[in-house]
Amino acid sequence: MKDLTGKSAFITGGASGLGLAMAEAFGREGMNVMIADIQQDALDRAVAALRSKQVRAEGVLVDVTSRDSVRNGALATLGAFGKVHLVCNNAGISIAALFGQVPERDWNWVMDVNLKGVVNGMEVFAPLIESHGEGGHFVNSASVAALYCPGGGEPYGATKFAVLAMSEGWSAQLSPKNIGVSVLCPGVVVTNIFDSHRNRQAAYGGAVAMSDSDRQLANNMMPLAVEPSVVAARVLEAIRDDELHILTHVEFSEVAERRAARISEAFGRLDHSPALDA
Amino acid sequence: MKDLRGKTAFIAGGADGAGFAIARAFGGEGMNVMVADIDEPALHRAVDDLRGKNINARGVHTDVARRGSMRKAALETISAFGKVHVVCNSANVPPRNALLGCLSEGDWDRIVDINIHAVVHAAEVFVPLIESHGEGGHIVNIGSAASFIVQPGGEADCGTHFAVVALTEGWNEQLGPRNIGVSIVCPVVGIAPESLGRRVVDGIKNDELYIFTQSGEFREMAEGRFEPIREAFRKSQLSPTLRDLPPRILPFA
Repeated sequence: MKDLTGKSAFITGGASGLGLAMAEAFGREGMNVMIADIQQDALDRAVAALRSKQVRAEGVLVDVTSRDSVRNGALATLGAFGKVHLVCNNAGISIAALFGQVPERDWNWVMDVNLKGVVNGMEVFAPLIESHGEGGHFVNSASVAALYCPGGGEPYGATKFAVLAMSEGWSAQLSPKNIGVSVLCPGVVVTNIFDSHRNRQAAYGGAVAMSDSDRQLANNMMPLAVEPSVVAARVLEAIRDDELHILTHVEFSEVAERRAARISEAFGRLDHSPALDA
Repeated sequence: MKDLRGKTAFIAGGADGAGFAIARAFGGEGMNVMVADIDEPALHRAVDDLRGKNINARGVHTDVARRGSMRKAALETISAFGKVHVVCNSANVPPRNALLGCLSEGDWDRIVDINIHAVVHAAEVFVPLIESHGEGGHIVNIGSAASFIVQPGGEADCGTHFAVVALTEGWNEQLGPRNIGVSIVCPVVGIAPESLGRRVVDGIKNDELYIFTQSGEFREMAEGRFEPIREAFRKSQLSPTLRDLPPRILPFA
C-alpha cells in the first residue's frame, strides 16, 4: 500500500506499547485510526493523546479472543470511517515459565490471544478490505521468538511460530487481491508486555499484578529494548514496500542462522541413515 | 535412549497412520506399547494386529484434547506396564486446503486443541511419570511437511505444526539435562510406514531433535524458506530507520 493519506487503520492492542506507536505513526501519515483494546482507561487516554496530535482517532473495546468482539470492532470502524484498509493484529501477551509451571488456563489464554486473536482479525477483516477494491494491508505481530524457541519460551514461542507461518500463507493468498501481509518480528521493545497479566480476562483466571519473575524478566530485558516509535517507523516502510517479514532487531539473524544450520544438518543425516532404503 | 527393549511406549493417535507405523516399529524393538486413540474400532484392530505380531500391546480410549482423558490414559499405562518411557504424539487433525473464510471458528478451535494443546497435555502429564523412574525417556512429536514449509490455504495446519516445532525445541533444551529427549518427526506424504517406523526408532536412539524422513524437494523447500527471512534481515540492515540504532547484544546467546 503506497498511499496512506485518508485511509483507515484498525489496531488491536492499540492503547499502549507498539500498537499505540503504530497508531501515532499512521496518524502522522494522515490516516484515520481506530484503536481497539481490552483496557478501557488506556483506550480513552490513547484516543485523547492521538486527537491532541490532530489525528482522527476513535476507540473501541475489543477482546480479540472473541470473534464477535472483533466483528463489533470492525463494525465500529466502518461506522466511523466508512472503510478499513490497514489492520494490525497486534494484541499479544507474554508468558515465560519453565516446564510444568504454566497453568492450563494460561496455555489457553496465550493460544487464544496470540494465535486465535490473529486468526479472528484475518477472518473478519479480509473480506471487508477486499470489498472496497482499494487494496489494503495486514500487519501481524509476531516476534523474534518466531525464529527460534529457547527453553522456557514455549507458550509464547509456539504462538509466534504459528503467526509467522500463517502470515506467510496469508500473504500468498491475499497478494493477488491487492492486500499485503506483513509479519512483524521485533526483539524486545519498550512496552508493558511483561505485565500482560494486568489484562487477563476472567475466563483465564482474571487480572493479577505483575509477578516477581515477570518483573525480573522485564528488568533484564528493558535495557536491550528499542523504542516502539522506531519499530513503528520501520513498519511504515514495510507497508509501503509490501515487505512480508519485518525484522527490526538485526542482531537476531545470528540465532536464526544457527537454527537453519541445525535443520540442514538434520537433513544431511538422511544421506547416511541406515533406516532408509533410498 | 539407547536401549528400547522391555521399555514402554504410549502412542497418542496410534491406531492408524503414522502412529500405527511407529507402534509396530516400537513393538519390533521389544517395547510394550499402549495405543491411545479416540476411534474405538480402529483401536481394537490396531491392538489385535500388534498382538498378532507378538507385541505386548494394549489400547486405551483417549480424547487427547482433554487433559483429564490424557491423565486417565497415563494411569492405565502405568497399571498395565508399571512404567512409561516413550511418549509419541501422533494425533493430528487431517490437513485440508482451506482459504480464508473456509474454516469455521469451531474448526480452528478443534485444530488448535488437537494439534497443539494435546501435545502440551501429553508432555505435562507424562514427563513427571517418566522422571519418577529415573531410567530416562523420550517425547516424540509427529509433525509433517507443514512443520517446516508453508502452503497458502494450509494456514491452520502449518500454524499449529510450526507451533509444535517451537514446543519441541524449547522442551528439548529444558528436558535434555533431565535425561528426557524431545524430537519432532516430519514424515512427508509417500513415506513407507516401515521406513518411518525405523527412522523414528533410530532418531530416538541417536537423540535427534529434528527427525526427517525424506530429503529432496522437501529439503529444498524447507531450506529455501529461510531465504526471504535472510533477505528481510539484510533489508533492515539498510533501513534508514534502523541504521543509526546503537548495536545491541543478544539477550539469549
